[in-house]
Amino acid sequence: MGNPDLRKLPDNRVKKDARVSLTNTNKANGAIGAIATPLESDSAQWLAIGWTRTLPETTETLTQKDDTHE
Amino acid sequence: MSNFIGQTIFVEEAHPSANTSTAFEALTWVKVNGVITLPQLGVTHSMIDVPDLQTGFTSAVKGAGQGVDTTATFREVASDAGQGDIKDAANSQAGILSIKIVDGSGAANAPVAGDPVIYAQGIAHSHQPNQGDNAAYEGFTIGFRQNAPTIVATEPA
Repeated sequence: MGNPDLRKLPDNRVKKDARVSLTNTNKANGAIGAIATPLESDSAQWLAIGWTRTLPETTETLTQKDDTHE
Repeated sequence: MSNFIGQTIFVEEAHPSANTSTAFEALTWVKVNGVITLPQLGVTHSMIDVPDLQTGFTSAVKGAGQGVDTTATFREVASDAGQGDIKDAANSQAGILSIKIVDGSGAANAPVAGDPVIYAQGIAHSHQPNQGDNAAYEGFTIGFRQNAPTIVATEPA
């Protein structure tokens, strides 16, 4: 229901900037391994000072077999 | 007029990429439970004295600013991750620490979007467990020397 005219309006909502996960690799920034989640648009300034993109867990780790059941 | 009751402190053992609220928001914050006294944040400026022989009056011009060196006190909370982090930072070689103080309006004073937030970055140092006697409680103090101006912001959505 609602005002049918409003339904004709174009979707002009601004897309929200996604956050990316970065890991600290430079002790000058603080603890090695610290995680920051800046906006993608801000990530360049973090990457420039020694933060790196957090690697996703490998498939091997996720599917590791549990030997105790064999 | 208001008091500070209900305010909470969060820390991260890293500095943001810039001294902005956006950069601070990207850090992974850990609450430090058992806070008794929050660190006093702010800056002090040195003054440059300019004497005048004729008038005999020394006036001043404003010199460089520096962050305050303050102390935060806590009661001991066993196995508290935040207390572990702040002690680790104070005992580490570099002492790198960022601080977030929130006047949270959520359940148990949890931060909610729009709540007032203060950020600061600096150096944690001088971890000192309380001196024990028959009138003291277990706790500790941490020194914090601020290394950039305080950022006043709101909790992000």
